[in-house]
Amino acid sequence: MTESTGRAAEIEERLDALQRESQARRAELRAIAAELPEATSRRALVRSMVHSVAAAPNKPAVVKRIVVKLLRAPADLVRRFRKS
Amino acid sequence: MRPLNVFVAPTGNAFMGDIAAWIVEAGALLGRRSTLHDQGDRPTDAEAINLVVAPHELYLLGGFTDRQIDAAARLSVPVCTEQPGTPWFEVSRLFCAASRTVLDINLHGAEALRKQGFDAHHLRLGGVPSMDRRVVGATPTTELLFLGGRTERRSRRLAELAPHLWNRNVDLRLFSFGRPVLDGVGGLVFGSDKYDLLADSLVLLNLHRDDTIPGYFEWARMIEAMANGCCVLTEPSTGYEPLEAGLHFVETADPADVIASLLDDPLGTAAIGDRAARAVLEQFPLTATLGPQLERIDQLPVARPKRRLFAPNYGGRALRAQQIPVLPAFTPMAALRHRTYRALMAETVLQRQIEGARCQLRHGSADHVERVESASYRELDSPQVSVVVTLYDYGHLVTETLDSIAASTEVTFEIIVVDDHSNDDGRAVVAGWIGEHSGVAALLLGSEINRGLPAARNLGFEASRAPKVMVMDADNLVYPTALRRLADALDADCQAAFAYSVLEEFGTDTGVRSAMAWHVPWLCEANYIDAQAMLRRDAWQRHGGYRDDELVFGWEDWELWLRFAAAGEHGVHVSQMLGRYRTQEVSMLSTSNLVGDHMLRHLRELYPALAWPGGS
Repeated sequence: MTESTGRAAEIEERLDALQRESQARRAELRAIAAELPEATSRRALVRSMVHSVAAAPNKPAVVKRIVVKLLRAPADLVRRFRKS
Repeated sequence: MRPLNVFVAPTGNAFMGDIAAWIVEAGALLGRRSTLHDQGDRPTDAEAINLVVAPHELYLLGGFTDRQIDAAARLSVPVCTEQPGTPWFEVSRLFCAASRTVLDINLHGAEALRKQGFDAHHLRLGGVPSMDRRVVGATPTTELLFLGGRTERRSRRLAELAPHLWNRNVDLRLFSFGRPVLDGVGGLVFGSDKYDLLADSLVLLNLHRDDTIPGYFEWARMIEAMANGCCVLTEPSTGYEPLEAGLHFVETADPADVIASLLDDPLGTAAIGDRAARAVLEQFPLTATLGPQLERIDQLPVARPKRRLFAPNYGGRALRAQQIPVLPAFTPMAALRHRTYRALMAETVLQRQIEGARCQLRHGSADHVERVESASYRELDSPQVSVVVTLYDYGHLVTETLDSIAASTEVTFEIIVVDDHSNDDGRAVVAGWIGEHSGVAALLLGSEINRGLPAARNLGFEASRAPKVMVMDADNLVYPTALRRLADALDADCQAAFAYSVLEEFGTDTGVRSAMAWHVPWLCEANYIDAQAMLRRDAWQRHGGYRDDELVFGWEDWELWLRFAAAGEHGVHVSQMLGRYRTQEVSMLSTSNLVGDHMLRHLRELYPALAWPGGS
């Protein structure tokens, strides 16, 4: 076996390994795609939203806005009712 | 006659500072002792007429307590400046309730306030002598000037004008409405600097911010332009009386139709500007409208009596008027997005390695590059500009791009096309184009592997022979003046690492991009500078080129601008539409957006010393 054919065989071998790895990666992407219906369900989105609020850097401001919004809800409803 | 105090926020929009200064000047001309308070103090003198220009800015930015605001508001007359229908108008309105009377520089604003029960009066702006910076006999350097906040509509309208403006001497200065506009920031000028700019411009273009046509005649901008003999070209407007369309300014639904006739007849255009200057400075000066308003306010009792036990919660009301969302930005499925992104990136790397191995089998080297060059490329020793065009699957568009570059004037240039292993016939198309254009210095580098955009650009830079390198994508275009004008901008600013111009967006959406001048805090908020720019080759080399890193994938240009900024370098903005950016449905940015939050954190970690929003 000459040096160049030996080198070619080595590259072919590496190519095979890379292709196998690529197939594994594609399988992972297919698995992610299969998970999508569950991951994008309403329940998962709500859970994600709660997590976003919990992880917000300005959590006190967010909580304050929510509390104020809730406290003002009855008055807003009355105003909307009167307008209509 | 009571003395006049005019208050304005020191850190608010600089426009307001100009308006306050005009009122003070007009007050002095009316024989009143007039004082400008622009250092952050609030009205306390009950004997004076206290006018507060843009009260929401003075009070909200001033850090006053609700009690202090309430006391100051009862002693003063707000001068509202915002357009009805905007959130700022609503915020401004909150600070009018405690005052006896209100002035509004906008006719429609005064009407809207009256409808809400305020004693609101229109203060029509007019000229004051200090605005006039005309130089007798001088010829304006700028043919057409645009000054205004950026909105989608204005972007679209400006883009429509690009084919009429690329060979003109224009100056488009846009700013974002999202933050206070400060003097000297991002190419924006105020006071005497702005008047000088206007005096040196033949035409001021006025485009309305939204689709309400006829729109509001923006008196503040119009008056200062007219006072400097600048001919105002505006879309159909209301509320411009006593000025007359056709006599003092030009009104048209389609500015593209009249731009050429105005710019090609500078004497006729200047005559309109001269008539307007006489009108606003002599016939309708600010003193004519301010005088009666001050006399009316003289008759009012000094302060409005306090009717409430507690001051309103001004800060809270202002926040509500701004309609800040209750919840933080929704970033769902972070783990899944990150997993998908990592898998996609890993697969991309694997595919590149596979291509490299195949390339090695075929050519004996993993990064073999095929070269095709024109005779002119071999003959041209030292081009002034190298244009690096990266090509990937744009075989159907690339000839249009190359034709646009080849039409460049007043510059010696070479074109370097880097084909990043396209799947289509792009390489053959470019090779054919080079064969047909033997007079154009062109080099095709055909990579046998797909390297990715940053590495492909770096390959083009390595092959470039000019000190200035224009970066382009294979689907975008340049106007013939682009290379020369960008190169001139770099010559004029020897400290600048790169130059960029406004780009006209065409295709699925129209608008403008790269429209604002260099300002690092803006750059830290979002990338507003497109990759289509002219870089100094040595700046690219000094900084190690575009970063080929999966955590800046799709954001390579932004990362490079930030790297320049972190090193204290800057880009110079050419405020003219010199290039065309093709908008399309699909973009590689869709992949980046999977982990935008993560990538942003990465950029902040790379350059912690920059002025990131909310601190680093």
